[in-house]
Amino acid sequence: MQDIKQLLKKIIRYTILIFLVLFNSFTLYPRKIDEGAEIKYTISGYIKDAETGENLTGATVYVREIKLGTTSNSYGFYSISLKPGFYHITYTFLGYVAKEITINIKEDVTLGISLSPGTEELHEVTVSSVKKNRNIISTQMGTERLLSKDIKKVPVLMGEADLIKVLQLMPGVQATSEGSSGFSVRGGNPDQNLILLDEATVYNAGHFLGFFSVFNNDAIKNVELYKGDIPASSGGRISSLLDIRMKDGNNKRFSATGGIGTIASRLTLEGPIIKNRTSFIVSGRRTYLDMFIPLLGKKDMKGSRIYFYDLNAKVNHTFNENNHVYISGYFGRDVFKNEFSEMNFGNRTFTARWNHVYNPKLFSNITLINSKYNYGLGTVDKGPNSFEWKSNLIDWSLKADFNYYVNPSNTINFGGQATYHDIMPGSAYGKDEEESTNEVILPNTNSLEYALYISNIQKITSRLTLKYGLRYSIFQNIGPGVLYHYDDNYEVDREEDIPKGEIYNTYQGLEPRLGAIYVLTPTSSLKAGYSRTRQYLNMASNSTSSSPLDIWFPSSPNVKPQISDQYSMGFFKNFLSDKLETSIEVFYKNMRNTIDFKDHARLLLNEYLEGELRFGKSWAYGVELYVKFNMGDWNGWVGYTWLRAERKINEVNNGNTYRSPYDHTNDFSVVVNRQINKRSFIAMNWIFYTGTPVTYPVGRYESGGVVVPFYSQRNAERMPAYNRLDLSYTLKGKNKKNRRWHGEWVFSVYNAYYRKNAWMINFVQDEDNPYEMHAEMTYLFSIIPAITYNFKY
Amino acid sequence: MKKTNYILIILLLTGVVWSCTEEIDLKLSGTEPRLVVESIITSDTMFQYVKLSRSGDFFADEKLPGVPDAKVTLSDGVKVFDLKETEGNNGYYITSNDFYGVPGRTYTLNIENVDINNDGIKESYKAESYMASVTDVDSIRIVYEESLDLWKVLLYAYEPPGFNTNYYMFSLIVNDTLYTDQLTEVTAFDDRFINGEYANGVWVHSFYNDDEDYALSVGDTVTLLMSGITEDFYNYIIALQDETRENIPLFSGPPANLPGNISNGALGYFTAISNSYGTTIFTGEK
Repeated sequence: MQDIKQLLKKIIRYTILIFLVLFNSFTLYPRKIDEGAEIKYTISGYIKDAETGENLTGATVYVREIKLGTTSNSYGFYSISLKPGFYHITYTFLGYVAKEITINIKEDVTLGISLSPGTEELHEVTVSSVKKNRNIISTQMGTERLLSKDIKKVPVLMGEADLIKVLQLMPGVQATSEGSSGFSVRGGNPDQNLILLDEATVYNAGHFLGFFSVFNNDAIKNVELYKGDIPASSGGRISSLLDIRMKDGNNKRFSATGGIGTIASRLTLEGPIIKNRTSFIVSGRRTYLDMFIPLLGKKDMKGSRIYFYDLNAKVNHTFNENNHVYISGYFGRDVFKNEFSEMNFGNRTFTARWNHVYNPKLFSNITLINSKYNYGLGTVDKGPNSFEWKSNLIDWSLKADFNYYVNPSNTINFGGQATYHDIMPGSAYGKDEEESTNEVILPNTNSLEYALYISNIQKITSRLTLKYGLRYSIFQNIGPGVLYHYDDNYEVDREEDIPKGEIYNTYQGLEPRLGAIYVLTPTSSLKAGYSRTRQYLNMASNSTSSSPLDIWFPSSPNVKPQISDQYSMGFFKNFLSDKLETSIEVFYKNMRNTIDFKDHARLLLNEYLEGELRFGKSWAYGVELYVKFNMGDWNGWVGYTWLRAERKINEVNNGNTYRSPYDHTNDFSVVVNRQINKRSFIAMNWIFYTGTPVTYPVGRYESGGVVVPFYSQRNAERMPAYNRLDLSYTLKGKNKKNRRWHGEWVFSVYNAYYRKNAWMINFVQDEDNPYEMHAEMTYLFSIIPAITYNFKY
Repeated sequence: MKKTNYILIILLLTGVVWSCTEEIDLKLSGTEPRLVVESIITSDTMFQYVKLSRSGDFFADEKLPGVPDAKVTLSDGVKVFDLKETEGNNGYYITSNDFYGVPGRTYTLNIENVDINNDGIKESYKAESYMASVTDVDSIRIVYEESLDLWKVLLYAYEPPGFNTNYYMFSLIVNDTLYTDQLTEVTAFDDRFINGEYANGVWVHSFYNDDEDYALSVGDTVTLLMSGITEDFYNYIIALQDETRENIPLFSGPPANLPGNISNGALGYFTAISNSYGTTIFTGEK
């Protein structure tokens, strides 16, 4: 640990040195702009919600006189530099009342802005012509953005609003299997999505074998999914970045939100500790599903306990205008228990962040993160004839991110990060009846991952904006550990013990990120992008449904990092004054060093896991269509994706190209909600996607006294197509004025027309006639109604 | 090994299942029939057999037919043996009764005069297998395991250092009848790192107490058959057991064909194994 501390110290020192040099060179020329030695002053500050004090991310700041603007960053900070003079500046944010101010700039100004949320009846928010068509001018492409209240409107499984379920309804994002929290972006694997909760990596985002995600919607402020246009500030996964930010906590008054439902209940408490300066938020959720087990009448589950809980907590404090601290944490657990055995798993994350404003143009955020995912499985009794199996993954991370608002045409982001991964892939022991212990302990794998990045968003002309950036990432394997040397048959022929602190492998590479947007008309634009990403940590998973027992393994001398090059292009057009947003995007991904598993791979508790891997290349391409409508009482969207994802892996499927298990050719989602009257609305979503690729038998033969199936090429067949309709009806309590308590009833039905979507298909021998085989389908969910009462105080 | 059994049991017990299962009608694409070979050459002095059959459509529910009139020869590197077809055209071809396999030799199987795909052209097939050696079984014991309600069969044997067999298969014989008559019922071990050690009551097989068809009675003679096998055959057994076990979608990968060792697209396996035996009388004491 000492050596690592030294190493981290060295890296931090080095990194700080680089940045000091970099931004000193910028600040040495503070006033030098295109017109010679013209002086500019900077107006900056934080944009917040007037009622709760929450920072607003991505709020737009538009300066009419120069026809340029900026957006607030993840902490609500904005900054724009202007020549002295009078300006009309408009601040807007979706769902809030826009604010326009006039200001005479003659020096640097700090101006904090509070925006009031638009009320529910106000579907048509009064906006300037710039807030409209936000999607047209946004430099992001291949991005989906959700706010907590959007997530809440979509009816989902068992009455629990779930952000991952809603993301799976967006074009380009697909569920990996029924009820799973794993998701596939543009044909990619679920382990290729970087999921961040307040900047901490979440390794397993699903509860209950994936039926619910770990994110309690009441604690969430903002969710952004980057499908193709991952910013240079992030890396380590090649398919997407899911950036989830928790609420900071109402710093004006105490508030409680919650819900009581048929399967789970939740409560969120937030409020000021020191009004307008310090606030907290604590959010908890627990299921009590185990209470219903006796009702299910399944004898083998008697005495079982099944529950999960999530706890989010956050405190934030404003020291002064230039310094802000946030401390947040998440703790969650799933427990399955019966008289004989127990299994539990969960994530724990902890983040401490310091926002510091060096000068009105330079904003920084330094974050310290600790993230842990672990699971345990074993007999309840620990004495003779007991068994226990544990595994965990711990990350320590330090990140420094800077936003440098050079001038209204250029915003530079730069920074670095260093992470230490400590993975204990599995340690199991069994005690026999004489209590002598048999142990299997897989060696820990330790690794370091760091990156430096710099990127700029530059407005070249009034129509053309370019985004360009470079990320440089490095990955190192560090001892203590064991390096296995494999021969040509994937058998271990030598084991090498690596002493603590010794670095035995380094991978590094450049990851350029490019994007361009060309505004054709005020309501339409064309976007294009290219990005290269690298992934150093992968999940060993044998199935398309995410399992809590899947372990992560790092790149090593035996496993090269995965590399992806993605090209995308899109056309965006809005109609009817922003009431109808449409877009069409095409993408092509080309990936190298793709990892797949050999036939009959043994992944559980296998120290020679790397010998079960096979490598090759993969690719995916497709089209995404999106129509979003916001017409008074009717709101919603329709998304359609067509894609193809394939692989060619050495020694798998005889080296022939085969479909990726995440190749769902057609994916169609329709989400509609309709406001019926002031107190009620109904919502529905309908999903359809092509069945998962699967390997089916094409014949059978007798061997070893049993009938054995003979299979087609891998993934050459498909499961039946998946489709499902969910409905919900929400009835709000009478909203008496001056009454702080608001309540609403939500009645929902999951899988309303009782479609039996196949979860798996097995072939079984007939009981009477051993030569007869049947196909048997197992489906998870029949029709599931739920009632939830939500309240807000 | 036993740990994997434990894991599977626990996972099965804790699996959350609101699921329902029903039979469905599924259309599958078919394929041309293939030759299926099944043959184990052993070190015991008795007739050895090669069984030839034909593969069929997946949902076809009749017994898969044997392949008659083939010319089957076996070579041990020293001599070539012609196998004779038994009566009834069931596809069984056997050696003489005094045949025995010798550990250390490599056996080659040749099959001619077969036209599986009925295209008028005769095909030929070939397979090869080394015969691994096996040590003697010192003794075995049968011990009751209460938490799992089964009888464990424990092996006591010594493997000399430098002994080069690393894969073993265990079968059970009760009162002279082969109890584990399907390859799904044997146990197979990959024993790479226990060279030069004494197997002191290693748990190698089990009798399940609730198995109605084959309950043990007090006084039964139980024989453990320990076979030294090749790595190829070990992989085949594991793959076969994987493919015929019920799939749990969380832990099973995509299904795949068994890794056979016969040329020209034939299915099945040809292997050579050496056997040693250990016997005990079942006392039924718990």
